Amino acid sequence: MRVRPSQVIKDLVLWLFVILSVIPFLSMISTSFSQAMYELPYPPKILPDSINFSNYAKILKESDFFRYFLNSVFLSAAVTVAVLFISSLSAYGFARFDFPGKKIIFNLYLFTMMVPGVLNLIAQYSVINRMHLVNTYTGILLLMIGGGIAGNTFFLRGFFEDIPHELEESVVMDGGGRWCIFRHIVLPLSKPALGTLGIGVFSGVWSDFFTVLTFIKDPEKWTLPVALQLLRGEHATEWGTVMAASVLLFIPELVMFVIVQKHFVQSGGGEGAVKG
Amino acid sequence: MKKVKRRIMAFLLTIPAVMLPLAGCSSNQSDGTSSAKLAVAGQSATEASSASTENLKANLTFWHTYSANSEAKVLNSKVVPEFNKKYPNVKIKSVTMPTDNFKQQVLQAAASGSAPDVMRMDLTWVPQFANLNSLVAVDGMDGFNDIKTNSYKATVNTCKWKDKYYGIPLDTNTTIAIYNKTDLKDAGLSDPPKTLDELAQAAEKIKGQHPNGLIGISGTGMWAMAPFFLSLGGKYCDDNYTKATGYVNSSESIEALTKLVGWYDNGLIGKCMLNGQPGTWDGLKAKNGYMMINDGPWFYTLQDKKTIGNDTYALMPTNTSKSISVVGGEDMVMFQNCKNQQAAWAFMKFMFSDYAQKTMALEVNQYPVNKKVAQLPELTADPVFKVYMDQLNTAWARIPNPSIEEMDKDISLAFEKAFRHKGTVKENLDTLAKQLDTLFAKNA
Amino acid sequence: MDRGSSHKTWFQKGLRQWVSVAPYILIGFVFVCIFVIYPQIKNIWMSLTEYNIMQPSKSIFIGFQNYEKAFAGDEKDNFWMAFRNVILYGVFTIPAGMIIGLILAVLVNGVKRCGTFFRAVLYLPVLIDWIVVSIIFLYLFADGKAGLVNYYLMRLHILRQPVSWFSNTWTANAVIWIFGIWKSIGWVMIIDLAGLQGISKEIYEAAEIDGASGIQKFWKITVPLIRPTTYFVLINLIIGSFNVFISVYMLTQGGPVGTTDVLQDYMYNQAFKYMNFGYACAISVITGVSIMLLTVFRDKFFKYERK
Repeated sequence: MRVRPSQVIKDLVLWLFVILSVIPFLSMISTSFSQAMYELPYPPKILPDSINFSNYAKILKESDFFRYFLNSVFLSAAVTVAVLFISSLSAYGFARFDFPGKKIIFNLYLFTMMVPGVLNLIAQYSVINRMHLVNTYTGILLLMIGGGIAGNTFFLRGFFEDIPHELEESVVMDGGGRWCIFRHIVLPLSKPALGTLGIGVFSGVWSDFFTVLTFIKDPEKWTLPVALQLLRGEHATEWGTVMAASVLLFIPELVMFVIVQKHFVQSGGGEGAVKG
Repeated sequence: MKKVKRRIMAFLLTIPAVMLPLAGCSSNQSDGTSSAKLAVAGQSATEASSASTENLKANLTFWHTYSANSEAKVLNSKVVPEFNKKYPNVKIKSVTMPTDNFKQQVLQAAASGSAPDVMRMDLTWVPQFANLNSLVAVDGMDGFNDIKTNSYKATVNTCKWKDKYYGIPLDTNTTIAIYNKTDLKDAGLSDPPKTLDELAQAAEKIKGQHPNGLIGISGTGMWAMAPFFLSLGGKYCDDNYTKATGYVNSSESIEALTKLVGWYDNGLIGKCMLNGQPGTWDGLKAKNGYMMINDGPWFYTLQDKKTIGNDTYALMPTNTSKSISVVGGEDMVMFQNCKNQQAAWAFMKFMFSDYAQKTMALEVNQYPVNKKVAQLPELTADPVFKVYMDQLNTAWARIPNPSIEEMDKDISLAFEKAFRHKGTVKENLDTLAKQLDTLFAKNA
Repeated sequence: MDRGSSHKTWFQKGLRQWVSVAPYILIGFVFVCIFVIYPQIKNIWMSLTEYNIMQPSKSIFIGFQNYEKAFAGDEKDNFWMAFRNVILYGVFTIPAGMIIGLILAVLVNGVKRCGTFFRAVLYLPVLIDWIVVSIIFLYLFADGKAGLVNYYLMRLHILRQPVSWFSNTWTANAVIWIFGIWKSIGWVMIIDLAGLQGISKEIYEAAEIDGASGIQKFWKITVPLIRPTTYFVLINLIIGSFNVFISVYMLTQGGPVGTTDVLQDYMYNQAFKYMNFGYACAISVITGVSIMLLTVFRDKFFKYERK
């Protein structure tokens, strides 16, 4: 088969960005193997001189890595499921129903996305405090779910609106209600969108340090990113260990990303169903 | 399907019920009420102070930033158990907090009444939190005067705000000069220089091989710059910390900064001062890197013997009568929301005790504030320790003021502008004097 | 009477509509009200006071003084500098991020094998912790010949002299922008890929039968059909650029002399370092309103129909 020049350009562009994406990452991995304690290798390196897992071993052995890991998994998974569920319900409401005040509420959602969140913490803290939920997972779950709804509703509404009405009519003819349409048509057809959002919500919670630390004061309930920050010392930081920890931190995210991409996004229900 | 719908509706109906109490009590959480209650508790605490230590029952949360795998280990395995021998019913929950965003964490906790009972707090924060009314004044507590007389004046003064003491000193440190031996030898010096001018002359001789500069100053704020600025005869404010005009823009200060700017222009000062690379530690160790840096005792505590070795140390060189560095360290404070002040005070006192101070000093090199411990031969035998303690005798405490962080920002910017020749040294210091005086006035 | 009854039916209709939509949106609405809208309203109130964090009831109402302080008062130089930098950040990172992200999405979508590999690798930058990757960037862009970027740019004869990236306003800003683009491309790509998934292959097939070239298909089919996704990406990137924080905090701390400072960093310091909460809230409200105006302006300017 003849190689078309346009294909060559495409491949070149793709590989160029693959390399650009990977360089800092490689630098991070090679630092995670380094033994110099408090400095980064100077001059910087992309590839490691030698491979040495002692920083990894130290983290896995010394800290309560496993507990933090489970806490992180629980928190991220719970928030992701709840946010996806509530946002898809809301998005369906906005996409397929007419009701007074719809535009106002939707724009309100949009506006809430625009105000920076850092300072909301002060007021959010007093809400959670009055519910007596500081230092509990319930409190932080409610807060994170609340924070995730507006943006994801906005995103999903766009997808739901693109689903052809004809498909729904067939369900209506079969005697199904709105809920049935939502459950059996809209959700399966939106698998790629839901998967993509799921990844976003999951990584957001997975890497959150600020909110967890603000609302959870009990070290037993902390998550991996907080543990990662604990590795940074008062006066100096052992970069090798921090880099090793951040490699460990992001591996589960990567695994989760690959699984979701394979099973939700790429296999996406979209076309098959439309054609069928 | 209908069932599901009904269940969701039922759930939704319960939500407004949850919301109502919330809406009812907006914006007056954690008002003065807690402090009023505590004042009473404080009184009864002093009355009952003669009670046996075993009767004291409490769960105390103690926040600090001791690193989990060194200092915190000694604290939890040696210091706290010893405390519990005397106070078996006071449980200490020691929490290592991340240093990032730490102040925001403490503020938020203090504002909502969920701060820890006791905390190891950076000494510059004490006036800030005292000014917010979130700390308990401890002057009246039993045994405070003993602590006051038994610790160094400079350290105990860091706990003072408007004639009251809001804590007790816990540990102290300062920075000294650390040199790369090879570079010193190249510059023809067998011993560390005594004056800053000698240092500059030595640096001048070999600057050709040191493209990133030779004197590693880590920034232009007070912590990094004061040892140089003050040792050159400059001043930030008067000795009572009330006024900057006439001090920071005095002719001595202008001369000191002008000299530093000259050194920077001349390539003597390292790039790390203005956020360049390499950093101070990397630069000191690198071949043809920095000849001299200044840093705290952690430079020697944290590092492996293998990674250092080509270094030597001395008091900060100075052009004035004495070598001036800057005081660092932490104080023990008690928050207003502490429920058992008597127990918290007992723990604070214990952290100042000979045992605790000595253990932390010997095991993890936390420099003692307890005079008796500081003079123990086990400690003074260590030459590094001795130099740091000598340096502390003449070290300068940064401006104890609730606005210290804003002041430090202004200072840091004014100095940076001077180094970058955005305005003359005099112009920048004149503006700075005005800015600092406004901030002094704000909290007077 | 007539008017009354039509009013009544209008009301009844609205109520009926609400009853039918309530199961879908109410729970989300309640969450957003409690945890987002209420705090934001409080934020607006705080911005009109000299807020006392320890005793909120003792906060002093000062009207618009905090806003005046930012726009024309003592802080105006610092505020406008931070505002300018945020706008520049948006101008330089958003178009680049969106264009590269979309191109990569289209390319990856066309890859027959190893699609997941490309997705994962290109998504890597999004997954790595901001703080950690900032440290790496700091080292890649180190001063002198030892810096990796300097080294390669000199090898390729793009540069004669090594650049001190963080010592000059514009090179420091450039690194912040490059970092921002680098971090956003993967995210844009993934969102766009989800959007592309929704476009039916039949449309492309029909276009091919009509003899459309690849580039024509891109402009005539992909770009218009992916519009709702693009809108979502754009809004998020605008919000993101007003919220840029960690990279600046880690790379330059606002230096040299505060010329790379951004709103979020500025606001955070005002609140939690200098404890000027009321003023910091005013900055956050200004940020929100600016983003809103930008979006409204965009809608009007492009006559974009969201339905």
